[in-house]
Amino acid sequence: MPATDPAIAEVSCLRYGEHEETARELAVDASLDVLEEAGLEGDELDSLFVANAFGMADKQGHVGPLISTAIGAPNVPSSTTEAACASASVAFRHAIAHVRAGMAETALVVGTEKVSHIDTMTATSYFCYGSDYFLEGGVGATFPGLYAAIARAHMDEFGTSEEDMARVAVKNHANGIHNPTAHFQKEIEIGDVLDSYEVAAPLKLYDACPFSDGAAAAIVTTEEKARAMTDTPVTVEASTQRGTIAALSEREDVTEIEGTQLAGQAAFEQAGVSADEVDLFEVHDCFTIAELVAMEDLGLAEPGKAAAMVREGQTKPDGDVPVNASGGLKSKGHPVGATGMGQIYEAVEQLRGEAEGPRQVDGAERVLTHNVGATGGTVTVNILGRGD
Amino acid sequence: MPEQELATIAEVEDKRKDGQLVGFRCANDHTFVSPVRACPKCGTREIENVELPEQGTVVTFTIQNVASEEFMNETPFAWAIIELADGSRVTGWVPFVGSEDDLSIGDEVAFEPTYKPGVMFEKV
Ligand SMILES: CC(C)(COP(=O)(O)OP(=O)(O)OC[C@H]1O[C@@H](n2cnc3c(N)ncnc32)[C@H](O)[C@@H]1OP(=O)(O)O)[C@@H](O)C(=O)NCCC(=O)NCCS
Ligand SMILES: [Zn+2]
Repeated sequence: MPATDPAIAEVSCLRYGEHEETARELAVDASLDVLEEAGLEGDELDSLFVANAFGMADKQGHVGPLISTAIGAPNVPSSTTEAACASASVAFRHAIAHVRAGMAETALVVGTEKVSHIDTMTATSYFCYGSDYFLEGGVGATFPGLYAAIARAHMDEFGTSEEDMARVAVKNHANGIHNPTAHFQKEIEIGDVLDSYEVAAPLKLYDACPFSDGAAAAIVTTEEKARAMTDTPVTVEASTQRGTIAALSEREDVTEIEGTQLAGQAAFEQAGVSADEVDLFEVHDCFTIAELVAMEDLGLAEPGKAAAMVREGQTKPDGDVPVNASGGLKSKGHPVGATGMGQIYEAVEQLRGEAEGPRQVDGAERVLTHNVGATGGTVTVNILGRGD
Repeated sequence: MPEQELATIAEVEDKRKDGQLVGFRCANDHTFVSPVRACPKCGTREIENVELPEQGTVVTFTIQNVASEEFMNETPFAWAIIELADGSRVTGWVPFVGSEDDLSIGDEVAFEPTYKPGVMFEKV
């Protein structure tokens, strides 16, 4: 079968934070933005892939046709992917697969989420539905609680401290200041994190990503078509996805996420590169501990050693191993169904040298994105490279 | 292994209300509380219902100050992963835990049937 190499022609991202519009409207706005960037009309699309995790918050399922209708392309095939916090990067992989298989030449992927209109308790309850409700959400765990259990075990096993986790938040907030799409553009200090209220001990408010609204989109097409749309296409050197036993309690080791280890190894193999050849890592830091665990699982640090790299400043945009130059989920925000596409947006900005201010990683040639659904039941890794 | 109907989630929840923790164990001795029909560790479909011990130790935990709707009246409480006496792992919540002084990794806890949601454990 002739393999068609997929590429990203254009991307768009609405500012994360609070929006008045519903998820479907946000998706339409992001879709129109990316179509305009690519110089396309809606009816030139062969497929529409939507990601949305909490349609229940808008009392709206089946958003695909609503979005295709609103962008003037009601006959384009659409589908919606739900994989909790990894929804968008899984939808992105569906687009990649369609282009590679020749089932679509040009696809639009859009991730969207709207939760700011529901109160904290309701949002917390909805998010619990993304866990194994029988063993986790329904037994008292919240998402902050699940990651707090990982954090507590990591502290016990490796001596990781609350300051170590706080430093991740400080770095990511420092990066977010330079990101116009970020939910928070606010510098914080270690003391701010340590003094913030305990959401799920040992995790505090500033260890957590916020509830964000937002949408982000990309045009995925053949390399040839992408080149016709832009001088700076981005190539997909690897796109992998793996799973982990769904419930945290049923895994042998809760200080690591096996799906990340497997998806990471497979991605490096697929791209034929090692971690040293990647210039930026946009990883899933839904909570500060998650960034440390992701670094360890991706092989950037030995188990228990990621905190030292953060302490030494190695993970800043001008360090040896930049992590989350966008501000990460912590500061850029986490509109669940959009997050994976937002990471891809950041990767494209970085590869084009268009990231604002000191957040730009000098001469970035290759960026890895890592997106986790729940506590690793779903993990995707993409390695994206400059195609110009 | 004898043919046996594997319990449904509803049956597991009913047993809990009657004071019995149950799970599923494969022919190679891997135990799960989630309703697995093939073993996630070794793949065998030789699985049977098992009764689990009621006492165990805390593997890891958190103190929940922000809770979902079902647990909003219980905060602060701990949510914990608990290793039972036979080595299997369950999850549950421990009421009235407001600070790290109230619970530690390694602490002994015991299952306590309740009309409240979830699976409740109390410090021994
Ligand atoms: C931490 C959390 C409970 C805070 O709840 P909330 O309802 O969003 O926050 P509050 O209403 O208490 O907000 C209080 C203030 O803190 C800010 N804030 C909220 N969340 C924040 C966060 N994560 N980081 C920094 N500041 C935050 C708000 O903007 C608000 O600021 P203001 O008073 O200046 O307007 C909630 O954001 C949360 O649960 N986050 C995790 C989401 C999650 O689990 N995602 C899935 C990951 S797998
Ligand atoms: Zn087994």
